[in-house]
Order: sequence, then C-alpha cells, then structure tokens
Amino acid sequence: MLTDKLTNRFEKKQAKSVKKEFTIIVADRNHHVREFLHRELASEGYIVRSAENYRQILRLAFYPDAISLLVLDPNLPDSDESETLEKLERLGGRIPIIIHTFQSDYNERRNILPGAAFVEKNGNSIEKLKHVIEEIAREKFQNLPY
Amino acid sequence: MWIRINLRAKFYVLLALLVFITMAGGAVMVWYTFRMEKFLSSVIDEDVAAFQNAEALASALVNQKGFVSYYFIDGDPDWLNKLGKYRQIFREKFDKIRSKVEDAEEKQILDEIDKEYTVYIDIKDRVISLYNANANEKGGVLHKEARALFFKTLNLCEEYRKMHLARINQVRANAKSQAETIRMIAGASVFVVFVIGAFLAFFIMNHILGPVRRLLKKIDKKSGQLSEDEIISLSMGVHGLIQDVNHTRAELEKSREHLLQSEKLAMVGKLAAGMAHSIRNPFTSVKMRLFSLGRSLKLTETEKEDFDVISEEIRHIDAIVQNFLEFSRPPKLVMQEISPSVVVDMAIQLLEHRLKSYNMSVDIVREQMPPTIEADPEQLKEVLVNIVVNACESMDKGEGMIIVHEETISGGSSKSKAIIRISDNGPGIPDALKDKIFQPFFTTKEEGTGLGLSIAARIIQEHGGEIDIDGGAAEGAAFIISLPVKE
Repeated sequence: MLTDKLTNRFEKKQAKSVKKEFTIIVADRNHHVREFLHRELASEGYIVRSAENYRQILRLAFYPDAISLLVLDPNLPDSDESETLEKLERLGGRIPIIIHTFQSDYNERRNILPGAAFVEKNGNSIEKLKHVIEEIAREKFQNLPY
Repeated sequence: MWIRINLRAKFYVLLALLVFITMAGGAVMVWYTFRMEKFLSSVIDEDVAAFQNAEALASALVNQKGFVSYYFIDGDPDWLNKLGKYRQIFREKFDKIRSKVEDAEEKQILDEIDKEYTVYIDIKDRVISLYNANANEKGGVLHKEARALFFKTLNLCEEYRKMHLARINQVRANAKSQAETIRMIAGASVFVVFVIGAFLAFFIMNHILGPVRRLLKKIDKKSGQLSEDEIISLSMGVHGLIQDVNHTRAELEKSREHLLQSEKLAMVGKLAAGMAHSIRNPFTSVKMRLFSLGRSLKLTETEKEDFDVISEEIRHIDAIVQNFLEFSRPPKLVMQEISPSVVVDMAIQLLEHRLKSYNMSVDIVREQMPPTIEADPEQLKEVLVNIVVNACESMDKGEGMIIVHEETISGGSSKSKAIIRISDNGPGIPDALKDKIFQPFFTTKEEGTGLGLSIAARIIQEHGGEIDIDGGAAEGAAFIISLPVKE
C-alpha cells in the first residue's frame, strides 16, 4: 500500500517534470479566453505562451524554445490569414495543432488545417482540451503516466 | 434594299404604286380623249369641210350645164341669167376654197380647175355670142368643144373631192392606230395594276393578316375568346395583354418592394449575425469563468440557486446566439453517399442519454435498409436531433414513445425518395400552427429560440428534399422527411 502511494507520487512528480518540457502556444483573439486557458494549462504544469494573432504564433513557433503544441482558434484578427495558415500547415507536420473554436466556425472551415484535432469551444471546453492535450503529450512522451 | 425597309414603309410604297398606276392610267385616258377631240375637230373637221366644199364646187359646175342649150332652143334670156347666177356661186365657192388651201397638191389641182374653168367660160361665152349672132353651126361646133372642157373641169373637181375623201380615210386610219396604242397602254396598265394589286394582297396577307391571325390564335388559346372579326379579336387580345402587362407591372412593383424589404432585412440580418459573431467570444469567456467559479465556489443554497440561474440563462442566451448564427450563416454542405439509416442511428445514439432523461423510448421501423442518398451526415443528423429533442420537450410527464419509420418510395418517371417519418405520442401540433412552425423565430416553448425547425427545413431543402408535418393534435406530431435517392 505504501509502495503504491510512493509509486503514484513518484509518477506524478515525473509527469509534472515532463509537462514542464511541454510548451503550448494558446492563440485566441479574446485576451480573457487566452488568460483563462493560460492559467488552466499552466496549473496543469505545462509551459504556456499566448498569441493574439498569426504573426505572434509564427514568432513563437520559431522561438528558441521547442514548441510542443499549438491550441488555435483560427478566427484571429490578422489580415494575411491564408498565407499564415499555409505556414502553419507546414508547421503542423512538426507540431501538433488543436483547433479550439466554435462548432459553427469549424463546420465552415473543416479543411483549414487537415491534420489538426478539434475541440469545440464552449464554457466547459477546458476539460476536454486538457484531456486531448494530455493524450498528445502522452504520445510525445511515451512514459507519461495517467 | 426591300428587306431593309420596314413593314409600314413597304405597305405605303405598294399602295402608292398602285394608286399611281391607276391614276396614271386614268390620266392617259383623259389626255387621249382630249387629244382625240382636238384632233378630230382640227383635222377631220377641216377635211370634211373641204370635202363638202369640193362636192359643192362640183355641184355648182354641174348646175351650169344645159342652160346654153335651153337658150339655144327657146331663146329665153332667163336661162342666161340662171347661168350667170350659178357661175357666180361656183366662183364664190372656188374663191372660198382657194383662200383656205395651203397644200401644194391642192393648189395645183385648184389652179388647173381655175385654168380649165376660165377657158370653159370663155368658150361658153363665145358660143352664146355665136348663137346670138345666129351662127348656129359654128356655135354648135364650139359648144361641143366647151362640153369637153366642162367634163375635164368636172373631173378635176371630182379628183379634188376624192383627194379629201382619201385624207379623211387616212385620218380615220391614224385615229384607229392611235386607239389601238391607247388600248395597249390601257391593257398594260390593267395588267400592271393587277400584278401590283396581287402583290399588295399577298403582302397584306403574308405580312399583316397572316401574323395577325397567328397572333390571334395564340391570344385565343390563352383567353379562349373567339370572334369572326380579326380586328375585334385582336383589339380584345391586345386589351387583355395590356391588362396582363399592367397586372405584371403591379406584381413587379410589389416584388421590387419585397426585394427592397428583403434586402433591408438581409442587411439587418447580416449586421445582427456580425454582432452575434462578435459577442460570442466574450460570451464564451464569461461561460469559462463561470465554469471555473462553479468548480471551486462553496455556496449556500440560495447562492447556488442564483448561480445556477445565471448559468442556465447564459446557456440559453448562448443557444440563441448559436442558432441565430447557424440560421444566418448556414454552413456549406459536405456531401457524401450515405444511407439515411446510418444517420438515424447516429442521431439516436447521440441522444441516448437525453432520451433516457426524458423517459422516452425509440422504435425504429426498418423493413430493409433504404438506398443511399447524397447528404451531409452532420447536417442531416442535426435535423433529426432537432426533431427528436422537440418531441422529448413537448412530451408531458410520463413515458413517451417516438417511432422512426424508414421507407423508400419509387418515383416512376421521377426520382425515388427515401422517407423518414418521425412520430411521437405527444400532444401534437395544432392545425393553426402548422403553417408557422417552420418560420424563423416562431416558438411555443418558453425558452425556445424559434430557429431549430427553420434550420432543419433549410437543411432538408438544401438536400433537395422536403419536410412536412402530418397528424392532428389527437395523434401526436409526425414529421415526414423525404430525400431524393441517388440514382
């Protein structure tokens, strides 16, 4: 019993240390949403960076720190969206992307980033988002415990 | 050239030509009568007068014959008086003729007559002198000589008369020849008038009456009104067409007004949709924060009730915004070949928990798998979910039943249709509401947005299908969706 508790605590510590190596870019046009996602994901132990437009995403994506994941609401205020999306699509081969937007917007632009996962944006979508991020992180770091 | 002239000009040209030919023909005739009259009065009258004078001259000469013989027989001087009288008549006639003659041939004959007559008179006077001197034998010889001169002069007079007769005949022959020419001209005019008239008739038939008749047939077919008089029929037809045009114009005005109204509404809708789209993000932020609060707050019962109401109302507003956006900006259909049964199963599976919470059971009647249709499964699923959720929400407390019946209808010449009938045993839809139920923003629910069924109807229409309601209030509600089967 004590062994199990110790093992569990060890695994959690290990997971936390792994998450510290997992850097996520959160991109959303609403800064309160960005801050909320930042707070929630940071509390989970991830390193989180925020981007309010495509230009910032690209700047962060080529940051010296290795970027592990992009959580993106494509409805960003940049005017050169299509060009940036092309760059992101190329980036998507290297970095996993989660589209976090409204269902109706996603329905209109399902093929925007073909390889990306989708999480519908709503009041409690953070739970689903955390779950999907954890799945992706686990795939990246095979030894990440549940 | 002729083809380029318009119909009215052609008609006028032909008519003018016809009138011109007719008038020209008539004018030629009138001219000819005047010419003939002048010709006859000037030429024939002169010749006839000359001919009559020639006859009178001959007659005056003949009348002189015998008086000297009678005087020789009975010695009566009255015979010589009469002779003198006739000699005077002859001279007067002769002088009269001579004064009017200008022709050289006539003059020559008259000179000869004058010459012979003068000699004849002279001899005759000598004969009378011899008879008065009782030299009867000598007088008789001379009288014989005078007789020969008499006949010579008479022959000349006769020749002069015949010359005029020949001239009259010549004039008559000329007149006859001219009459023939005029007859030819008149005949040609009649033929030309006939040809132009026939062409005009053909033209009128072909270009005016024919089209009018064809036009009338079309108008008659449309209006069913027939009249023997084409013009009356045409007038009635045109009157009807004018009425139609006026009616159409009025309809067009109405349509234009509706269009303007629709454009205004579309603009308002666009603005509202833009506004809804803009408020969605901050609204979601509010919901996220509420969710976060809900996880950590320790509230009293009253506070919790307040918090739940706030959360519920925010969810309600969110639903309205979401539905409105979906209604104003319908997503593009992502079509694929799929069986309607697969979509039905997906929808029922998705609603499994909700159906349980409403205490509803679903019975799917599927005798055989319907053929595939061309559809967007997500959109079609949304339609089915919407109808089933409506059925659940309309149900009174207690067990409810939803029957989904699938079938295929062969269309014969038209396309076959896959039919999905979703019926429930709820209170049904009153007849008065059936026409309104698919209208946007129409709802009977306290918290409904009134957009669910209008979105469903639009999605079905975009699939080339139809959605309808069946059943009255006593039988529950039944929605019938028909979708074209992929050939």
